[in-house]
Amino acid sequence: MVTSRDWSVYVHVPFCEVRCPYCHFACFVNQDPDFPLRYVRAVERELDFHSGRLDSARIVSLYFGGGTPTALSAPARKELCRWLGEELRPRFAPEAEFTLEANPESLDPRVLDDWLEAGLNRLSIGIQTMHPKVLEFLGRRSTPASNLRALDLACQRVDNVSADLIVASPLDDWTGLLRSIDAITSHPVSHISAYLLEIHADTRFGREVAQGLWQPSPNDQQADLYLRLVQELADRGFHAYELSNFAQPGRESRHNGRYWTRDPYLGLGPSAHSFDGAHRWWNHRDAHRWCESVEAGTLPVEGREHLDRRAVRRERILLGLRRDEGIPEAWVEDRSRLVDDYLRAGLLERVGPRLRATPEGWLLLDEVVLRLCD
Amino acid sequence: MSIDPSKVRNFCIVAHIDHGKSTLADRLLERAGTVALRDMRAQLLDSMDLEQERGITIKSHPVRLDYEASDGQEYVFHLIDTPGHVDFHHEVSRSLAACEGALLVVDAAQGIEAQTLNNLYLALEHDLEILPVLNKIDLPSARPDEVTHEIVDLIGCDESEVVRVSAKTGEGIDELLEAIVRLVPPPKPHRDKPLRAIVFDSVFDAYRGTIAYVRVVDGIIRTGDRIRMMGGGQIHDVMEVGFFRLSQIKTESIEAGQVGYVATGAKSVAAVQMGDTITSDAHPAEEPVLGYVEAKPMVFSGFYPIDTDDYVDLKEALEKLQLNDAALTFEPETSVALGFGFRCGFLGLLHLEIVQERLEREFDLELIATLPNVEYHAVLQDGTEVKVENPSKMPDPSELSSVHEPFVTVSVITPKEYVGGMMTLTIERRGAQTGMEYMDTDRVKVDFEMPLSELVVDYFDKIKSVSRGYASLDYELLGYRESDLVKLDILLNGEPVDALSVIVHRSTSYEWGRDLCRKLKELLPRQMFEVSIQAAIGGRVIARTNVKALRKNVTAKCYGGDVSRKRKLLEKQKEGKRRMKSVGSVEIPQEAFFAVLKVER
Repeated sequence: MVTSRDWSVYVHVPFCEVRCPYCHFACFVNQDPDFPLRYVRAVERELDFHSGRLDSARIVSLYFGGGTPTALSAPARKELCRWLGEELRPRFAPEAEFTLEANPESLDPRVLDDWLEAGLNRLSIGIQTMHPKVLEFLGRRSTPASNLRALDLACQRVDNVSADLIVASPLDDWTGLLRSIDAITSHPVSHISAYLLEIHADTRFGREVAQGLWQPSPNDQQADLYLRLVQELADRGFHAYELSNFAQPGRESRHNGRYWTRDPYLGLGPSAHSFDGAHRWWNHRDAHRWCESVEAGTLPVEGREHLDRRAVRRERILLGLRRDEGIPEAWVEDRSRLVDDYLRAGLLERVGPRLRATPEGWLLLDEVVLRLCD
Repeated sequence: MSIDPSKVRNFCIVAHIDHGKSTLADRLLERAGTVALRDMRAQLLDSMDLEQERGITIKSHPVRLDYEASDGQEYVFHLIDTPGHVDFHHEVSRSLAACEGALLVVDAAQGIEAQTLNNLYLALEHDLEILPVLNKIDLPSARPDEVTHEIVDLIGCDESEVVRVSAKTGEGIDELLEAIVRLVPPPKPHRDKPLRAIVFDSVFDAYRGTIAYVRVVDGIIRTGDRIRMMGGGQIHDVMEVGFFRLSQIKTESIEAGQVGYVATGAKSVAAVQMGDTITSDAHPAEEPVLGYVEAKPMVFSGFYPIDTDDYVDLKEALEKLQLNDAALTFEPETSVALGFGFRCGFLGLLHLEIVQERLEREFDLELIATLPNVEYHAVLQDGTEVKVENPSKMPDPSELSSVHEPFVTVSVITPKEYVGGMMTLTIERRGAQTGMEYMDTDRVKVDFEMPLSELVVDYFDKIKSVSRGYASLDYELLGYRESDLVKLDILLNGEPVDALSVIVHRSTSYEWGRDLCRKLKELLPRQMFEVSIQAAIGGRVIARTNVKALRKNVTAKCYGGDVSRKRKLLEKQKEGKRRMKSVGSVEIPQEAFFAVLKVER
């Protein structure tokens, strides 16, 4: 058991007002007015299960993701923020990062005030795009106007704001993408997460594509968009510190960074994942099942695994190459012929004793990692 | 065991595939009381799963029936069910040598087909009494009178001699049994002559070794005798003899005129070759029953395990199959692209398919089989002749003086409206017509000579499709002839892929090259580098194309801490990649090897 270390805490909020057609995360549209408060109490109780683990530890980052954390009912939010202020905040390390994911249309000054009071200091807004047609295609309820209002509000109240973008949906082109970048960077936003649209089988998009109703944008086009995006954001002062994450110097997400550096984190709420340095475990995906388990006083864990040496090695390579810091070349010295091929093809580059992926290499990272791992 | 030879009838059933041979055998077994009703199932004699499923007979299946005829006498029938397919001509031929008569079964709806003819000619060569049987008279589409005329025209018998039956309903079976008694001549045995018994099949038994299925022509064979194979020269001690019901029934001896089995204890079927003659070691006969012809493989293919770890399993499986299948040959070979495998030789395409299917099904092996090819005879500049069973081993054009390939005669019987399409197809395959005759007003028999290599790939499928399934085909080896052949190599990023080399006629080599390149372009997944695909003859590139580099394959979001999912996905992909073959830095999925076999021509 790993104790007396810095921990991160992730809290999964499974509520959404609508289900986005591309999203495969654990969330649902709740109809039971009492459930959100029950959920919050269960989160509080779930943390208690781990009090032994956390007593001597400091929380260096806290992240509320979902789902839509800003969509919590008022009583539930009030209770959650009270608990955060009273129970969790005292365990924060100095300068702990506390992030909340927010949808533009549910970001309200009063909502924000409650969270700020609980210690919030970073906001991640799901802008996705500034293109009205693409917003509609993505099933988002926000409009370019509500996106702008949310950015204005966020940047007034919070110092550290990140915007999410979805790149290369079928209607997306460089002009549209540039418009979104313009709108975001004309605000004092310090961080951008830009994800190439992924089609997952168990989503509405996945079913539509399987039925042949439409096709994802061609890979070559996605690659072109991505490479231009990386260059454009770099020109505007946002460097790619992970293949989908861009930040101004010093504004990298500390919480997400800890996933990629394999630091310990505790996940609370349905489907949340945890890692203690040697084991990974994950909670029941179904919110009610998770809740009932916690209420019954049992760990709501659906599965766990111990990582053997080979798994650790694979994780290090696959996570490390996602970051701009890359990996020590020594980790893959048994694959030197491949490494040479990739260096020659411009997929990897050498920085001192380390290897890192170029933007072209990031685009092919699943292929590269597959061959570099034993 | 002594039986009055005049009461013995030895016969086989020959027919075109699907004309109801095995069903007819079932009915005879049932009527002659050999099979209790509770043991009755369809195609009783076809014991292999594959035989049952495909409705084909692969091995010979002898059985003894006791029949009380209307004259009140007891008769002993030895029925030998034979394979119908052209690949197994050798088996048919040997089975015929064990009989005095043959039931020539013809489907009353289909009429005479290509294999009906070939089997008939084979039976006549062996001097058998032919009993024409019109089967499937219960079918609504049956044309009994017309087909009877076809038969009468063909064998010159009397119309009344054609026995009309339905193996399905049982109609006419009694008449057939009486006809067998009346028309099939009894054997003329010479008990006192030195032993001669023809081996018409053999199977391997874990306890008793190789068991030869024999027809004793002269003399007598007893348990404990020391016997000698007249062709192969091997000496064996007879462990057991007996005759066939549905299982083997042990007796003390089998005599001239009878059909039975001889357990030899030999460790492989190769030691008791089918077609060979068994004689007594102490008093050997002078002449064997048949000229000894070893079954020679005509078609070759490289078999490679998809999972390289399965090599030893594949070797053991082939050894096991060979115990019962002397015609199957194999020897180890190495391919740059496919790793370690075996070059296997087969009697024909059906034989190849059967072996492949049995390896996959009974031994649970996953295989890549290379494009079937024939054996070429390459004559070098210095006059030496080299036999080439693997296209990639064809000597360089600069060393070659000439190349010879096997030719076959092909007979196709088809409704006349499809003759045009069939001719076009055959001429494309370098076929030359040698004869044509009308079977009746509607159907034509066309004879061709063509290279076997053009036949083995998919000629039969193509003939079936141009004739909407109506044409039937048979072929026979003619001999080797010189042809203008070239080896076409496929290069990926400059590296030759030996498993994709083919030998083709020079006139079609450009087309082949282009089509192979195009097909490969479809089948090769985009890789991390651009891949050039080239077809070349002796170092000269005749067709090329390329597969552009893959530019994107990445999981954009690795987020929320779910690293396990990503890692497990990686592990799954690794497993998939392990099964991928590679040449140089180019990775080739197994589908590419499979589908190249199906290049549209």
